[in-house]
Amino acid sequence: MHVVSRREQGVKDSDNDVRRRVRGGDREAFAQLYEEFADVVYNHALRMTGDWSAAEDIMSETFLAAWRNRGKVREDGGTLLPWLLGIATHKADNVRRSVRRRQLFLARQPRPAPMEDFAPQAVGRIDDVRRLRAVQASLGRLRRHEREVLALCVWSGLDYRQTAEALGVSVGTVRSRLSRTRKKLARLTEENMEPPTARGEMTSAAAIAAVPARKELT
Amino acid sequence: MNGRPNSAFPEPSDERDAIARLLPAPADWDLPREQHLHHKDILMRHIDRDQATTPARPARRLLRPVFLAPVTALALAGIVTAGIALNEPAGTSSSTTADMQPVSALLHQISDAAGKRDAPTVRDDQFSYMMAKVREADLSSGKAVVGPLHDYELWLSQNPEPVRTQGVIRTDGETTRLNAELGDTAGTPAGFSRPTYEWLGSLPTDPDKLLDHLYAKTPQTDDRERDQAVFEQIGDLLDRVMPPRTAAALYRAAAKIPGVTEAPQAEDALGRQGLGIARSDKKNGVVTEWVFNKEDYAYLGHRTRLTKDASYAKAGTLLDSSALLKTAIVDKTGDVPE
Repeated sequence: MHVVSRREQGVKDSDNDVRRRVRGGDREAFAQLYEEFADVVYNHALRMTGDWSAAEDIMSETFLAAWRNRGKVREDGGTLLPWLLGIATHKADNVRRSVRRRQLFLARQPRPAPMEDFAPQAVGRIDDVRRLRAVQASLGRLRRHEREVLALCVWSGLDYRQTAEALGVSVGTVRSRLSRTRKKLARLTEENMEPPTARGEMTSAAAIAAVPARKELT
Repeated sequence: MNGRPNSAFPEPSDERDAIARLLPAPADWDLPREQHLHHKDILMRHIDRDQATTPARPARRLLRPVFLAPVTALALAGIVTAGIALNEPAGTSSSTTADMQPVSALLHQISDAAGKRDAPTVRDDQFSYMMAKVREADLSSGKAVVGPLHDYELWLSQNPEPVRTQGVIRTDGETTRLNAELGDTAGTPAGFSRPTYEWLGSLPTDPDKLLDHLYAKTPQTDDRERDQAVFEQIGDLLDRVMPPRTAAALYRAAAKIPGVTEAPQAEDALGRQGLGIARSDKKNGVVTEWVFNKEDYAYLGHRTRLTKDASYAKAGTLLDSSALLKTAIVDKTGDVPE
């Protein structure tokens, strides 16, 4: 065990000031929290669900839940982002949980919505849409714990300690889950990586997604 | 708005880098600014309302019907904004005019049969059990791929208090714990998302009052007709163990929803036919059918299909179906009745 100072953990006094104000129910603090982190929470939810509409709901609900649960925020501990992403992760997992409901939900989404809603941005983003879908399919091959550490610690850029805080587990657990996730992804990629064809590249996401569908209910 | 943390002191990052290479993050998306302002406004109004009312009062109870739509309902309905439901007076449907639709007679027969079934005794420490076959389309590739039949079992806690674990799901032999709904950090109370026997028994048994209640509590969305949402909300409850009086009232309430019809061709996930009841959401091109046993009017299952071509599938494609095989009250999760 090594001892690090709070400064080294990236804890800033201003973060703890925000924590105190959030705890105290300061309206402005929540407005700032929203401005600062809404995009990060939205993208985290989008990566976990692959669904724009669900991601928006999750984002909105995350901040409402944060308001309701403000009393549980500790006075120190640095940025509140891990806390917010922890809430969002739980919500995203719930959205994914019931395959049955999920499929129904997707079915009801007006399919072209991403293109229509995001028309200005969608120009040149078709590959991004495809990629988001492919990554979704890959996530479906992972267990819940694996998805969570992947989304938090790799994609959203939380460090090990912050990921542990978001998930309410120890840093050691984060480490071992990450290790498991890497091995699994490597195995899935290897099993399915085919020689690139003349026409197109086989991305690792596509390779992982190509694994025959397994039960996703984890 | 970019609050991504810069972790100044990263852990040895081989593992993370390796994973990022195997499955790189999809590109970030920006939510349009007006959407952001909309959600921020919801948050701020929520805060203001909480602070305007007696601060000592727990906010959750007050807000639950509006802001904590259960994830099942969320998922079903793609809840639009929490604010809308607030201003929605109860029972604004056009249901009062629909009393005499031809389907009423059949639903009344189904209701009468349901009302005469034996009421089980249910203890708070027990679980309601349901076994079904389900089949649905996988749309994650962007095209509908109708999957095989799956075994689906559900044990739901009957604890009247909010619970952190709602019960257990078993699909094709794999068991998953069903945790509290999103946001319910103190546990999920009984309700539409967690319909315990006792809670079902607390619903109005007068069909008109029940229907008003359903219209008031069913989340409203742009992508589903309101009447359809209520019809499907009732459908979600049909495969649960419920008090006979509640079941009888639900079918009579369904008879009052505009657009509900008989559907002789309806079949469930196992292809079982019988007496069919359906409602079609013409705007969104989706039809949901319920099937009942011809002899004893028992609920058999449901099927939801596309009725017009969509970008991900042709008209007629199955979206979701179930075939109920068994319901019971059991003592613990994992118990399967004879």
